[in-house]
Amino acid sequence: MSEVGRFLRPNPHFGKPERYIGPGEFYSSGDDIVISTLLGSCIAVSLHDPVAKVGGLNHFMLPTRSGDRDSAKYGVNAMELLINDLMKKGAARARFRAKVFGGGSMLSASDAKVFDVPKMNIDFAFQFLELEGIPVDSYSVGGADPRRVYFFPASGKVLVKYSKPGAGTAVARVEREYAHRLAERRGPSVGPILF
Amino acid sequence: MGASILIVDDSVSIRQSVRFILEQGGYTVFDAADGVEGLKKLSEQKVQLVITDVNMPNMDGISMLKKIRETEGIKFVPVLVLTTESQGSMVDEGKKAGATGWIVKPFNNEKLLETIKKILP
Repeated sequence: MSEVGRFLRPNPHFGKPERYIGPGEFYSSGDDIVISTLLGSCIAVSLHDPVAKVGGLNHFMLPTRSGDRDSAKYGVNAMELLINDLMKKGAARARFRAKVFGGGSMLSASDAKVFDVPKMNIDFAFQFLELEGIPVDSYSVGGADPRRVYFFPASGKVLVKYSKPGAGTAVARVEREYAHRLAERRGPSVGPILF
Repeated sequence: MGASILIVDDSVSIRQSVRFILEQGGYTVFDAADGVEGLKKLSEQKVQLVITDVNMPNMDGISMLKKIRETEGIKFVPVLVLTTESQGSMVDEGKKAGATGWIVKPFNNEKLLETIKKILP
């Protein structure tokens, strides 16, 4: 990815380079860096392989327009992209340890009436990890305030900082835009190809 | 009874969801968690189509595909690649290895069934 350089910036607090990921993105590394994200009702799952000493973080949300089974597919995809990326860096699926973050109640009450988005996302993450046999070492989910997650991919450690309630509006806006993008996207950009 | 299809994917979630879709479509489904298990299943079961992931432990989908194309008795089985990989170079590699088609996840249920119907009339 050519964008890596652009988004990797020094974090003076940790004394390490920091890579920020937005909704729908993921990043993995075996280097001594910090991967961060800001979560409202979205979910971020960190995966770490303690033997290969590589880890990664994703940031996603299930689309709410389509049916349950269909929307879970997008979550599975977000997880698979991260898992495959880690496996390419030497990680083994059987050694993964997970941590789950997010699923706060950020969206407006009118949205919440139709779907309990945060709960749906939290449930998905835990069900997926259970089905795949990936142990969850810790989690910080639910609540009303946005979270900033700092993940250290080489060690698997995580720091979570709650943002000020005022920051919630900006996070909610970014997430609404992301939710709309998801709803409008009809399937993958590359359709089925028959050779 | 419909045709038999082998799904090869290391993710239980993907195996379950693809199995559900195919069974709804009237197909008989077998599954395997990697290329090695996939080849073993192919030696035991007669299937009309293989649907495989690319990135898997032990043996990846492209390596399995190459083995299939070298093995008497199964070398002409159609193989559909179902993957998160959308890179042109990867798709070309699959085509060169003898893949029948390429579908990028997340896939559309109807499109998957339509594609299978084109391969298995």
